[in-house]
Amino acid sequence: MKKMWWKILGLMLVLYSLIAGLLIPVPDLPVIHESIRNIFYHVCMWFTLLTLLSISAVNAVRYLSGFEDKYDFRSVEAASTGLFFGMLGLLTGSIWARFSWGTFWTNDPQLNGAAVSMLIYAAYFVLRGSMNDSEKRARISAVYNIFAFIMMIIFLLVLPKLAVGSVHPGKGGNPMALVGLDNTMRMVFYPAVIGWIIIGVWIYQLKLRLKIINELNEI
Amino acid sequence: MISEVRHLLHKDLSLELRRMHHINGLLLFVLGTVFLCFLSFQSKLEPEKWNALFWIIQLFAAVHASGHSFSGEHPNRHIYYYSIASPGAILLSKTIYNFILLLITGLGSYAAFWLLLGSPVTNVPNFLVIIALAALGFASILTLVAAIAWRSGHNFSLMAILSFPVMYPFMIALIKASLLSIGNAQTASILGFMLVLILISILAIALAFILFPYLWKE
Repeated sequence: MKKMWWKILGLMLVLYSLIAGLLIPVPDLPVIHESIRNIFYHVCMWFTLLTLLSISAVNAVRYLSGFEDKYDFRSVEAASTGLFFGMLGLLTGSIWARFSWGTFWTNDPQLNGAAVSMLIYAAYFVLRGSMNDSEKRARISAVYNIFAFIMMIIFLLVLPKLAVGSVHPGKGGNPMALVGLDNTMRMVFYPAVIGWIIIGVWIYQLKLRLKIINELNEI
Repeated sequence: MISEVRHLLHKDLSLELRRMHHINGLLLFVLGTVFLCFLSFQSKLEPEKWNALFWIIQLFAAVHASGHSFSGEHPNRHIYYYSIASPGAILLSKTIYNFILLLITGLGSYAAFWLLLGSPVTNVPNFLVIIALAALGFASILTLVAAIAWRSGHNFSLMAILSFPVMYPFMIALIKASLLSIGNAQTASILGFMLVLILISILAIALAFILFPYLWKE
């Protein structure tokens, strides 16, 4: 029970952001209007995705420095949970895009970055699936994980700055999102991000435990 | 280390000069694809489409070329190399070898495009520099991916799947830089993009250098 506090905190924060996100007054900005409330749900998915993928990459490094199986399990489960949040992020983003920009998908650095991270981790799972020997699979996929993660970070951080225009806030003449966020919105946005990251880590932990039990059963 | 790289590179290059099958195969691949484009596009290509087509064909050629980096030789010989050279030297020699191969392919591909589809490039020296930088980037990123695909045992089916996602950042900067040199941009405005290309290549080589030993030992 002692270690439960952060899970309860996560649940409370998410619950709070779900309810408060619909109730608080929001500034009436052109184009997005009331759909700005989606920021409490959509943007959090990407923060969770990045957290989980970082966990995955860090554990890949730890695996290569000691070749202990547990780090491989952590790495793969964090990646798969991250992929799940990425899909939720694409889903919420697509719906938002449909209502404010008129299409489900536009040519935009942020969107492309999201697509690239999904493709990279899908390739990671294809690579894992192609090998039977578990030690070899762990080693080779850890190498790809680290390499791909760094390439993804380049894509996410460097290339949007090179792009001429973006439909996302803060880029190409659009107002910066956090400047546009007024203080009441921040009161919901930051707890929502933290809450969703906690929920993501929790799901990852559960999946990890399940994985370890399954592995033990096989032996 | 440097002498190891030199000897390994010399071995790869003299093997290639003796047989010529990689480079001939690549040039034929590019020529065949460009000819197919020539037959498919009835009208003259706009610069933007020309540019995209050129680099996509280059990417496929590069994936094809570097896919052979490790699988071209008998597995027993790799054990021999393992016993005489450090993994870093093996990786560097393969990267330099791929770079030379892709540079020749890039120039050959440009010649084929120029012959069959015309050339909208206004700033030719800049474009040639970009071809060289592209060869550098392709070689530095794809050599490690080739090693991963080779070790997994499913070389050719995995090569494209694994390499495309990690190539995107490089490809986007590349296509932008190249588009600028096709238009009448000043060298200074392309310089930033060239710097990005060089930085991505250096980062990829450094990462590959650190990670390759984990793939190399059995």
